[in-house]
Amino acid sequence: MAETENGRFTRLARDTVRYLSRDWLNAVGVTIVFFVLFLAIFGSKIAPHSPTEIDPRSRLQPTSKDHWFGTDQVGRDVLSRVLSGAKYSVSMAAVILSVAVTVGVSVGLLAGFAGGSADEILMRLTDLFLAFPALIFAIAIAATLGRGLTSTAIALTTVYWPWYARMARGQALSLKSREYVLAARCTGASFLRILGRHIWPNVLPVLLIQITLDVGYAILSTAGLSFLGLGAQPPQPEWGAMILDGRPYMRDFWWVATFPGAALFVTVLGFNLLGDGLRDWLDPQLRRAGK
Amino acid sequence: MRVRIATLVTVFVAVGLLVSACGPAVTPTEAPEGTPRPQPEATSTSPVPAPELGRDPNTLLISTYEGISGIDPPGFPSASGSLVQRGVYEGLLAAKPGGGLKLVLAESYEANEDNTVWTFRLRQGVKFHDGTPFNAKAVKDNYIRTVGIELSLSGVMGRFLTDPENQMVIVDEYTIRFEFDEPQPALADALASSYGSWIVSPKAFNENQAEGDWSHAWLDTHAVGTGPYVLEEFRPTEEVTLVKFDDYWQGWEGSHFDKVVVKVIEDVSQNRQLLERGDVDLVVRVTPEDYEVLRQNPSLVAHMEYGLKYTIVFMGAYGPLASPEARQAMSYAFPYDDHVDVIQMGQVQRLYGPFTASQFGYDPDIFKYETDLEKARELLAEAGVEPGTELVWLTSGHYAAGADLLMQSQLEKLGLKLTIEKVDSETQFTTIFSDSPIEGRFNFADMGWWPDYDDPWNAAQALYHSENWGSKGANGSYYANPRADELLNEMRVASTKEEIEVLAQEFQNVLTEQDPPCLWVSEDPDKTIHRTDIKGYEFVPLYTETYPLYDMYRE
Amino acid sequence: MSRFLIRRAFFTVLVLWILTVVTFTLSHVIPADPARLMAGPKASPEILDNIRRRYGLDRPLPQQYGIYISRLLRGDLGVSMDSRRLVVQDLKDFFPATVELVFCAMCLAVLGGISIGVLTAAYRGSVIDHLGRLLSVGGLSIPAFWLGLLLQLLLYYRLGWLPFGERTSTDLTAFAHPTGLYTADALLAGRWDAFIDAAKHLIMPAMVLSLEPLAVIARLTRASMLEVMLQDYIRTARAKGMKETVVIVRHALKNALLPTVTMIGMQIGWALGGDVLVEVIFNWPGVGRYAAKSILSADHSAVMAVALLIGAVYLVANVVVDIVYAAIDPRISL
Repeated sequence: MAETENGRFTRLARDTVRYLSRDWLNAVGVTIVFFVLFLAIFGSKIAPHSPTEIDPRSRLQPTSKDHWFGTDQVGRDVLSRVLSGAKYSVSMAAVILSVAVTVGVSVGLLAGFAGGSADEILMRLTDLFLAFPALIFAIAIAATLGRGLTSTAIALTTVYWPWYARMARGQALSLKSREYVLAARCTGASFLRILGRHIWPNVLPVLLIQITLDVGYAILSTAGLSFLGLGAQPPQPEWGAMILDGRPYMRDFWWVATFPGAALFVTVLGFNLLGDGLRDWLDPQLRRAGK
Repeated sequence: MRVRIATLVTVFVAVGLLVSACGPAVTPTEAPEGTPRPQPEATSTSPVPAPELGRDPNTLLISTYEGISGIDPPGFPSASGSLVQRGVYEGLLAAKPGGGLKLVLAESYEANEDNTVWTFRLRQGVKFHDGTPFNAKAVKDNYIRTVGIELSLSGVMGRFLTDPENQMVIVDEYTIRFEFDEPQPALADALASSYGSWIVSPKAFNENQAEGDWSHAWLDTHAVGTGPYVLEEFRPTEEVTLVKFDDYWQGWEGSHFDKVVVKVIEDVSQNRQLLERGDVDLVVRVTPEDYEVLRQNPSLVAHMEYGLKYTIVFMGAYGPLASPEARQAMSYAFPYDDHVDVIQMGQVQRLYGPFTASQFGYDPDIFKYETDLEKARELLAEAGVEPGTELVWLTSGHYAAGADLLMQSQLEKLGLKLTIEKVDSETQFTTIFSDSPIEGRFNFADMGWWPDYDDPWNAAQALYHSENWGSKGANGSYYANPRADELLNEMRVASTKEEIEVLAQEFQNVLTEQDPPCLWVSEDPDKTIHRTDIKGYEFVPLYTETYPLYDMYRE
Repeated sequence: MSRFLIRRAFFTVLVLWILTVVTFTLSHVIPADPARLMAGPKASPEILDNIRRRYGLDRPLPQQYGIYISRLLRGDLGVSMDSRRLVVQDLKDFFPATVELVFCAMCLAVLGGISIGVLTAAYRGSVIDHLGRLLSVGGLSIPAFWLGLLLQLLLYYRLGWLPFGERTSTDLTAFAHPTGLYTADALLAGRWDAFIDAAKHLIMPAMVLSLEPLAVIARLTRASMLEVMLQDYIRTARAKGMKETVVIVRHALKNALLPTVTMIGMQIGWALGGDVLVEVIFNWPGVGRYAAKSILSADHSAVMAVALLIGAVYLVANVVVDIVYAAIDPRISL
C-alpha cells in the first residue's frame, strides 16, 4: 500500500519524537545545536552591547547586571562577544566540512570503485596526509598562508578530507560486491544511477554521523589555532581568540577567558551528543543490542 | 531516575568547583592554602623582611621574560642577553646611575682640545676568564674584531673606527691612543655602551673559529671577558647560570653573590606568584595589573625608573599620510590619556618627541601634542584625507598594547576606517625594517626603541634619516625631511657637546610641530621588582633591564 | 614479517622525504626576512648581506634545499634562530620532556579509558554507564587549552596544590639527567624530593592531555566489548557457569582490545597535536612548545627539524602498533 504524503510526515514526526525520548541526552544535544545555530544567525542582533566597541575606562569589570559576563581588557562586553562569536565557529565548521566531505568522499568512492592502480595511488596519497599529526600540519599551513580564518579554513580542510576518503573508500569496497549492486550492473545501469540509487543511501547515514562528530573537532581546531594566534584576528570575537586575550588575566579577571571556553565546550558537547544519538539510532547492530 | 541523579551529582560537583575557583581573588598578603611559610605582619610602612628563604641565600635568582640569545658583543643580543653580558663582560668605561661616566677597565683617560686624540691608561693586573692578561693589545685586537666582523652592532664603534688598525695606537703595554681625523666628542659615551663595546678575550675569538666566522658562533654560546662572573651553564631558552670568577680584579671582599641564575619565564603573569612565594629574588617585568598589586606588598621593592626607553608608532610618510598635515592630524587624534592612564594604568609617561626626558639633548620646551579631535578634523581636511579612507595598523601586541584599538575607535569618530593587522613580533620587526613597496605597506606600526649610548645622533639617525629607509636602517616611516637630514649630518660631525645640543633642539621641533614621522606614545620605565633583602640595585638609563650583579647582595 | 617491515620502512622513508620537501617549501614561502631577524634593527645592509651569505640565504631555493638535505644526512639540522644553538641541541633538550609528558598522558588514557570502557559495558544502562559516557563525551568536547587554564586557576592560583607549569621548581638543586625524563632521573639519583617535584609538575598537563584519548579509548572499548559480549563463545562461557568477571576479563576483553590497540596508534598522533596546546599552556619545555614558537617566529631550521621528528615518531609508533596488533591477534599474519 502506497504511503500518503501525510503518512510520511507523521512517520517522520513520530520517529523524531521517539529519537528524542530514547535518551534524554539526545534531546539535550538537539537543543544545544539548535540554540547554537540560532546564535550563529542572530547572535549579533540579540547582543546587549556592541561586541567590538571599546571602553577602556570600564575594562576588566566583573560580572554585573549591566555586563552579565563582565568586560574584557579594553572594556568590551564579554556576553555580547560570546553571543556574536557563534557565527565564526559554525561557519568555519560548515565551510571546512563541506569542502572536505565533497573532496574526500569523491576521492574515496572513486578509489573504491575503480580499484586497481588508481585505488592504490589515491590511497597512498591519503595515507601521506594521514601520516602527519593534524594540528601541527594545520599550524604550518596557517603560518605560511598568513594569519586569519581563511588560512585556517584551508589548513583544516586539507587535514580533514583524507578521513572522508578513507571512509568512503571503505564503504565503496564493501558495497561493491553486494548483490543488488552486481545485479544493477548486470542490467546495465549507469555508474551514476548505481551511485545515486544504491551506494549513496548506504553511505549517507555513516557520513552524517561522522560529519556531526567532526563538527565538534572542526570547531575545536579552529579555536585552538586562534588560541595560538593564527586563526581569528582582532577584533573578531571568535571564542578561541577570546581565550587567548583572557589568558594573562586569568588570575583576577577569570571571566574574560572562562565564558568563551564554556561556550566552546557546550557547543561541541551539543554536536557530539547529537552525533552519538544519531549513531545509536542509525546503527542497526547496536539497535539490536538495545544500546 | 538513576540517570538524573548521576547528572545532578556531576553538575553539582562541577558548579562547586567553578564557584570555589571563581571566588574573590586571594589578596596579596594572604598566603594560598597549604603554604607553610610564615607571613610578615604589616605593622609599619617601612619595608618588611621577605618571606623565609627556602633555598641557597648566596644565589641570586632572576626571572626574565625573553630567551637569552646573541651574547657575542658585536652581535645583536636579546634584552636578556644584555643582562647576562653585563655580568661577564666589561668595557673601558661605564655609565653611572644619575648620569656621567665612571672608570672600569680604564684607570684614566683624556681627550685633546678638539676631541681628535683620546688617550686611555688601562688598569693593570686584570685577567680574562681564560687567564690571559688584559692590556692595550687586547683592547686593540678586540675592537678590530668588533668592527671587522660586520655584525649588527659593529656600527657602534664602527662610527669612529673607520680604519681600526691605524686609528688605535698601542703606546705601551697599558696605554692605548685613539686618533681621529675629525672631532669625536661622543667616543667616551660609546665606549660605555652595552652594545658592541664589551671587551672579549682575543685568545677566545682567535681559537674558536668555525668556517671563518671569527668565533661568532662559539661566542654566542660562551663568554670570555673580564667581568665578575663566568658562564657555568648556558641553556638560552630555559636558564643561564653564572658563577663567580675568583680572579676578578675588584676582588670578592664584602657581600656579593656567588652565583646568579637567570631563568627564562616568558609568561610574565607568573612572576607575581613567584615573587609572593619567594621562589625568585628579582623579576624584570610584570603585567601592569600585577605591578599595582605587587608595589603594595611590603616584602617587595617595586621600581619605576624612567630612562631612555620608549614606544613609538611609525606613521608611513606615504599614501594617505604622505603630507605633514595628515600626520599632524593623527598626532592630535591619538587618545594619549586613555592609553597612559587607563590601559597602561599610569605606569608609563608621555613621550613628546624622538628623545626621552633623560636623553642628553632633550628640549624641555618641546612642542607637545594633546588629543584634540576638532584640530584633527581640520588638518585632515587641509591634507585632503577624505572620510572613508582606509588605514592599516600593524602590530604584534608587544608594544603599546591596546593603543591600536584606542586609535581605531578615535578614527571611527573622524570617519576613517582603521584595520588592525596582527602578526608575531618577528614578522612585525622584519616588515617594518624591510623594503616593502608603499602599495600595501602599513600606515601605522608600533615599536619600542632605545639608543645604544646617550647621544642624539645615535638615538635618531637610524630612525629618521632619509638614507636609512627600510632595510638600510630603521626608518620604518620612509621619512624624508631635508632639514632633519641636514641637522643629523651636522650632529654627526659636531665638535663639541654644546653644538650637538643646539642642533638637537631644532631637530626635535622639526619632528614634532612641523613634520612628525611617528606618534610619540610613551616613555617606558624599568619596572623591576625584587625582595626587600636584595640590595645594591641602582638603575642606569643606558643599561635598561640589566643589573649590576657584582654590586648586589642579600642582606 | 620481514617483508612487512621492509615495506613499511620504505614507506616511512618516502613519507619523510616528502615531508622535507613540503616543510622546506612551506617555511621558505613565509614572508619574514630571516637575515633581518638575526641582525636586529641596527644592522646596515652590508651586515645583512654578510648574514645572508653566511647562512646561504641568497642562493636559489632548489640549491638551498640540496644543501639542507646533504646537511641533514650528516645529522646537521642547522642552527635555530631563536636560541642561536644547534637545532639538534635544542631537540635533545626538549624531546625527552615531550616523551615524558605524552607517555604519562597515554598511560593515563589507556588505563583510564579501558577501565571506563569495561565498566560501562559491564554495567550497561546503570548510573556507572551514564557517568562514564558523560565523561567520555565531555572529554571529547572540552577544549584542552581552556581546561588547562581552569585547572591552573583552581589548583595553582586558588589552592596552591600544584605548580603552574614547567618541569621543576625554581629552587630545586640540580641533579644529573641521564635520560632526560625527570621522574626517572630523580629515582636513579635517589632523590625522592626531586621525584615528587617532577611528578607534581606532570600531573596537570598529563591529565589534560590524556582526556581526549581517554574518551576515545573508553568509547571504543565499550562498543567493542558490547559487540563481543553478544558473541556465541561468551554465551557458552556463561552457560558453562564461569563467573562474570572471568568472562569479561579473560574472554571478552582480549578480543575487544584489538580495535583499541589500533586506535592507540592513531591516538598518539592526535596526542602529539593536542600536546602543542598543552605545552604552550603549561609552559612545558618540550617539542610541542618548540614547534609552536618556531613556526610563529619563522625559524626555518627548527620548523623543518620538528616536522621531521614528529613525522618520524608518528610513523614509527604506527609500525610498532601494527606489530603489536599482529602479535595479539593470531588471525593476522604479517
